[in-house]
Amino acid sequence: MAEENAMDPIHQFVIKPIIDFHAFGIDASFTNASLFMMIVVLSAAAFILLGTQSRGLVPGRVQSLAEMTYQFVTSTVHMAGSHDGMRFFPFVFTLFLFVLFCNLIGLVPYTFSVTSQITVTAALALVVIGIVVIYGFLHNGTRFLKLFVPSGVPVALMPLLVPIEVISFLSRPVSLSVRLFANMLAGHITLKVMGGFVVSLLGAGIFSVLAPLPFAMTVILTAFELLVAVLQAYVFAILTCVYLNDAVHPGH
Amino acid sequence: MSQALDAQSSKPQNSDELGAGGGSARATASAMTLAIRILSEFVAAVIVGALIGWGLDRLVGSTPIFLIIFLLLGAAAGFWNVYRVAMKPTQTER
Repeated sequence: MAEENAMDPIHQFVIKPIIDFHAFGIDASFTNASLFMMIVVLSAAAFILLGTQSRGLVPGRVQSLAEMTYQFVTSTVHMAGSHDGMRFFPFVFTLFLFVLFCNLIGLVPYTFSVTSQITVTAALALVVIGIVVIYGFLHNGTRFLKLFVPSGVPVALMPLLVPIEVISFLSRPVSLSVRLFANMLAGHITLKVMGGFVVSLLGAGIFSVLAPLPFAMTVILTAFELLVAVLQAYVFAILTCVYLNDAVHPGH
Repeated sequence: MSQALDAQSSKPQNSDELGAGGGSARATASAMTLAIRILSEFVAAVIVGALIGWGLDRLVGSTPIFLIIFLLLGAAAGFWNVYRVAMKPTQTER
């Protein structure tokens, strides 16, 4: 049974309740996903708190890391939108840190990667799109609907183009959540399968001489996954900025 | 559009020449990120179009008509998404 678990690449994504809690017919158990979400939030908060504690003129290691992260997200926000975008900076920074820490902590063996659950990424994407819609209507009123009406187009083409724009807008949360989820899921499955090859080759008599090959692949893939983890957090953050910029300035 | 894509794909290679060692993995990762991004933008639009069409059919009871129409609109929206990603290189790459 233990061997089966070791070879099953999907087993790592199983959600196990730690503390059962059912209220009003809703399963609100404290699961391993909730546990790792709390770990992620606490470690991200600890990272920033430690980084901003000393406030040295010559920054230490943690402080310079925290300052680099801050600068990085600031430049991302500035690049995607105008200066108006800075009012969303706390949101984008929080989102970026959360996704980044989820991805990075999920890479540590025996941990649970929260972002490989589509419910989590879909919830994040829906928060982003919800803010875009609500802020867009509050800030621009009905002018927000200009987002769906391309400018400089003959009226005859509008019945065709407006549905396309609406579908294009509705596809944003889907692609935003599926991209992060699929990247993390595929990466972790690939790592697990490669690791499984090492184990099964070692137990295969003469073929165990081949075992270093998948092992080297695992090492390479781990480095690759580290890059993917950071890049996907970055992509999530910058697309959030791009979408929020649409809320501030509708109409292309 | 192909020129814009070429410009984007050549960008990571330039940074690859600057950085030694782990540079090629970095270039591969950012190229893959772009590829996955374009793919997911396209697929998501088609899926959303199909879902809207299917839902409208369920509501109205005109089974294949809305599904076909919105599948085509979804594909068009997918191409539009891909076009937008490709034409805004400053927003996808550093």
